[in-house]
Amino acid sequence: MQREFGDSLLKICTNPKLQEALDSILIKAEQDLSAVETIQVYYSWIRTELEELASDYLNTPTNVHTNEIIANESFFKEQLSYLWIRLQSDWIRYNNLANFKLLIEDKEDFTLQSKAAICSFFIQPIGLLLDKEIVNENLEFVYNLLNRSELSTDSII
Amino acid sequence: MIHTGVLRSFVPDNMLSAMPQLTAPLADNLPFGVVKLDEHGTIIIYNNYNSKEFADFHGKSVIGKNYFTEVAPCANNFIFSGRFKRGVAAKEMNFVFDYVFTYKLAPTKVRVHLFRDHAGNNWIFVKKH
Repeated sequence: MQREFGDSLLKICTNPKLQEALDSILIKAEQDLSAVETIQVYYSWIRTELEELASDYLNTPTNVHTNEIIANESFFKEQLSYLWIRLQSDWIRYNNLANFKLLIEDKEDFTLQSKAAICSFFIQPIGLLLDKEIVNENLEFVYNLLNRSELSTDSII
Repeated sequence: MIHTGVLRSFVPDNMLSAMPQLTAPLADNLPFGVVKLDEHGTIIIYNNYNSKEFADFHGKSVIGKNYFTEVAPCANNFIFSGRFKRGVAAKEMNFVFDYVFTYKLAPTKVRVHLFRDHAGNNWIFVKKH
């Protein structure tokens, strides 16, 4: 079970369809060289995050009580959930900003468009590995951070 | 009409005036995307052009699903769905704008025409650039 989850994470990173998707995006963005570099860096960042999460998970001890194994799996699903929420948030933000620029400035921002597309390609396979209850708890936790007392003051620290 | 935008629509004027009569089979023959929605954004008609060009957005059946949250979530913002909601509330909508879809496909630029016909039906027309 443990290896299965970790391997599934790694499979996302090595899925040839993702590389194909990236290539198709880079072809579209090639008229803007700075965009190409930024897109590659962003894609690498997501891959690295997933690979490191998988590596950390696969390196957790397995010769422990079943309860510990289950706890570890829940912990890593929690971390994966936060990454997924981050990617969802990035996708929505980049998609919306790209379209705002197109509407207001009549300007195509390939960097924003491509970052949004890259996020959307990762969102689905990661989503399949998530525990919906954990995602819900994470979202509630993030929302409740709004109620922290320091946010009601003028202080920025 | 509250807005027409500054861009030219790809939908012929005579077709716009006849929209209440447009059925799903007729829409399937058109060379651009046609989506008929109720006032909440639930899909009533979704033609072949959409199914072919934006297949990665959705599963096989999209009728009865919400266009903005279940089919094309990259359109769920104040630019796109916000205009739709304002148009429905005002009972008039005629706006043309360029947009980029980024959901599960390489960025794809399209021209969008949001339209409400004289019978009160809401339409989204989409054509790839």
